[in-house]
Amino acid sequence: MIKAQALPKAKKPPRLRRQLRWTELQLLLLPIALVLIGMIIVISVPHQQVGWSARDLWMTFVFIGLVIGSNLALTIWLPRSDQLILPLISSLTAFGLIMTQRLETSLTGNIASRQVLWIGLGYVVFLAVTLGIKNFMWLKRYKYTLMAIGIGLDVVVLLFGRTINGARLWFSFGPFSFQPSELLKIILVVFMAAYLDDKRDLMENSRLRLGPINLPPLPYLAPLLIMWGFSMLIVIFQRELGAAELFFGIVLIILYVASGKASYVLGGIGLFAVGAFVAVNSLPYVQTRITDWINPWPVGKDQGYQIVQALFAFANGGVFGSGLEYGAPYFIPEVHTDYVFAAIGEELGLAGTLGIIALFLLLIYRSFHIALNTRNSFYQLMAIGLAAIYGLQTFIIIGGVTKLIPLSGMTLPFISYGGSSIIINFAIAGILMRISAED
Amino acid sequence: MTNFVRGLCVFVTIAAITVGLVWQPKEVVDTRSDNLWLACLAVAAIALTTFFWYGWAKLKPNASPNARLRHNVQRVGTLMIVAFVLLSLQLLREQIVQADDIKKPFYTDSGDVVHDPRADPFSVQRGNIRDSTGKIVVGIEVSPDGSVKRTYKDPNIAQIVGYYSPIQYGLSGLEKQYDDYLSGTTGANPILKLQHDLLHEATPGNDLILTIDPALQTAAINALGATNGSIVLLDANTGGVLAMVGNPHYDPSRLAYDPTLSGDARIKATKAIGSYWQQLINDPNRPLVAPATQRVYTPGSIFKTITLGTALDLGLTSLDTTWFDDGQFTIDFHRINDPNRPDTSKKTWTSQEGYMFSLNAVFAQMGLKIGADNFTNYTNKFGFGQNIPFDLPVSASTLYNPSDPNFLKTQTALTDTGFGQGQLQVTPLQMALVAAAMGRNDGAMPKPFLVKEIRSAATVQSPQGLILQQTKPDVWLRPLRQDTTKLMQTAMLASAKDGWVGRNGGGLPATGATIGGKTGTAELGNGIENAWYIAWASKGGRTFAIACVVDHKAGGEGLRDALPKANAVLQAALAGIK
Repeated sequence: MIKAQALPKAKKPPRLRRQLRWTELQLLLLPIALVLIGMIIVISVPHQQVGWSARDLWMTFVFIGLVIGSNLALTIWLPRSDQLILPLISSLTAFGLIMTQRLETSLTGNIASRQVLWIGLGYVVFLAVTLGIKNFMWLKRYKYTLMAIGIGLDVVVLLFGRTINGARLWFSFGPFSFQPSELLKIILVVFMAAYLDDKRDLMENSRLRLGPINLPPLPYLAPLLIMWGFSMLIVIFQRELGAAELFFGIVLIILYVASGKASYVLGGIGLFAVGAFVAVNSLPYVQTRITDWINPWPVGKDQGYQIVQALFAFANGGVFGSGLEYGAPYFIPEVHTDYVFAAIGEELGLAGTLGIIALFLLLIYRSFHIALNTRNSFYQLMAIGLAAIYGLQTFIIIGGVTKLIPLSGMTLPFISYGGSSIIINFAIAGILMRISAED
Repeated sequence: MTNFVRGLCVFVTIAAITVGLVWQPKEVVDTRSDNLWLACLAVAAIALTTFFWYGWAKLKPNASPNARLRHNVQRVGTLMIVAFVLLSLQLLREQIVQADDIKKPFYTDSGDVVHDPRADPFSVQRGNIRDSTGKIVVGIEVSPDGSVKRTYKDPNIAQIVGYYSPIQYGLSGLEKQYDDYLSGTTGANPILKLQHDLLHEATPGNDLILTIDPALQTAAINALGATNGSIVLLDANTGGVLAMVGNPHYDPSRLAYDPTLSGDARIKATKAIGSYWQQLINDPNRPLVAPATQRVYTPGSIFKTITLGTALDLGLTSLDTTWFDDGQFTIDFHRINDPNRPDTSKKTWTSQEGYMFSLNAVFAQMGLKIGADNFTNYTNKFGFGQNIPFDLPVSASTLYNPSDPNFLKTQTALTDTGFGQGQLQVTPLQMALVAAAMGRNDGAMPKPFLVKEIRSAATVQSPQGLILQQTKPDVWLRPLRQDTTKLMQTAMLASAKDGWVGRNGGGLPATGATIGGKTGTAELGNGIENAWYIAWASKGGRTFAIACVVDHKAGGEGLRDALPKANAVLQAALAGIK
């Protein structure tokens, strides 16, 4: 008893003592060095396709300014938030920036300066979410509204959206296009976390039986079946395998974390396998993906061209790669978006690819760490769901371009060129940062 | 128990990954199928997950919600780690372990080439192919901007080396078989190669030196003329191919892409190559199939050499054994006519006379005596049913059609096979090897070869280039015993001296060589015949073996159509020997 009384007294934090975020600042040296050295190489190596000059270093300095500015802002307004998230996402973004600079050609347009704009917006969104939103509990109250908005957006894009590369995913506003499914994945995580947090107490009492089979309780069963149906609709109408895999994976992971029942996950995977089997046998574009995965070489001149070129790029990389600007990643179509990892594989080698995989693993680990350190059960589920987005999306796209799994078009978080993806991923990091400051 | 399961899982994981990375059967490398590797990865993933699963602490029934959550998150995290380990292994394989195989061009069934655009084949200073005198047959022409064109300097020899079309139709023949050497990826001086690699320079390729004698090759081409068929001349003592010609054939120079052209000239040249290729693959005569090594022909009477050899080796007959032959032989209502007897009043013939005058009735009876099993054993001993180990792609010669395995069960089939009809199918190279084995005193069948030497490109230090590989003459098979071979030589000599061959000028007495040979005329029905001649010729310590076939000729006959062509080549070969 005496001990229990003494404990809170000792843990009481010193009153409003401003502390510098030294760990973060030191770790930020890595992305700063990365963009600086990377851009200097891009400018000085004579292989370049674009006439970069020293004046183009402004992009690098904008990035450095953003990174240091974020550090300062956090020091001033939220000093106790996590100190690893910002260095990790900044390092990944730095890789993305130097790759876009390196991959810019006359054909791609000025992707590098656009990417700087997206990154700038990304940091603004990151800070706005981290510092501007004091509390996420209101999200829980509006979960059905949010979900309705999310699905509504997706339906609208399906009806009126623009088709790019065979998948109907885009809204266009003048020169900019926006991908609502990027937003939908956050909404989905918020909804699932809120819903399962509410229903937690009901679980024990509701039992469903179908003949001799014990079904999961309705609160688990319903979202599982609805999301399964929704994913199938995406596969059929939006022709987007990756989004379906991602959404369904997120739901399974949050369900598992909330319930602890591996059997629900296995059942869900079984359902997905049934859907996938039907899709493979009835949808030609899914069939193409599967044959390209099993062996793209016999069709390496037509439908398998992209993946075969990516394999050539990886094979040419070796241990340390050909060196930035010394490879030839232009042979891969769409190399700056979905296939940016193949360009990294060629020019930075196995060292570069494993390094990036390690960065993503650390990011996921840190997000789980944040989830476990917070006490609010809604925040816990939300943080885990957001970490699952990073993990699943990274696995799906890297697995696809390395031919580990069938390819489905997706962006590599923080690295691929593209506005919606960059901004949404920064927003996710912002939510995680905010949760990390709760206690 | 837990420790045992976990240990087992670690073992299974390591074993699956090792097997997947290391075990690369040739057909898997050729088809680039990753199924085996993906299966190994799946096994490793399951084992690794089980390993972690057993490692997790059990959740207490009264655990707090936070402990429950921690427990579940731990499991999700583990799955993520397993997934990322799979990614890393896939990258390890693609970037390091399998990288060299992935970078090689892939030839699809439809004739397309999927190749790495980084490896521009037209910047490689590909090695030359030279004849036995060292003269360049297939070479290169380097333009000032460094692009390289394949050039063909001796069309007589170029027809057997294969085509080089790395980005359109692939490689064939020697160009394909020795691509690693010709392109310089194998065999170069490692220090020199490192130096070239560091300076981002192409390593020059290595030269192939062939056994082909340009004079004899030209003689063979002139002898064969425009006739469909083939002539193969071997050095029987070594197995080296001295001349090898065939019709129909194609001209590899017309498939050679010229990277130095640009604009309209390039488009025109590429179109010409494309239309020549279309012409080749649509031609019903299939000129891409090499007559000497890949085509099979019905042998007719030259197969009597194998029949007699088999019967002698088994002791079923001697050269003096007599057989009844009155001009025909009937078995199971199947009548075999024998128009070959030089003396129609004579009705008993020895085995040797049967061979000299190619008496079908004698060999029909010999075939019956030999029987199906012995035929199979002995043709296998002669190399039938197997691919001849050679530098070019080969087809196997066959005793009977593999889709009709019961063929030899009937007596008529045995009689027909005995004198070389039946379902027999042989390649000219195979029959030249039979002649070589008969002509050698040790009765051994040499292992044929076309590439005598591989030399590195000439450098200042070694203007001749360094010898990287030299083919040592080797024995492939030993079909007959040495004493049987001697008997066969007697019979073949008699055939070329006093038999039908000798009576038609086959012995070439003017050359002073010892010659044994046998003609054949295979009936293909409708008055169409294959004319054949196989022979060996010894003089001054050297032995030549030759096979000549004239394909599908109306009213063709070995003595009239094949023998003079082969003799022209043999005369050229024997001319320079004292």
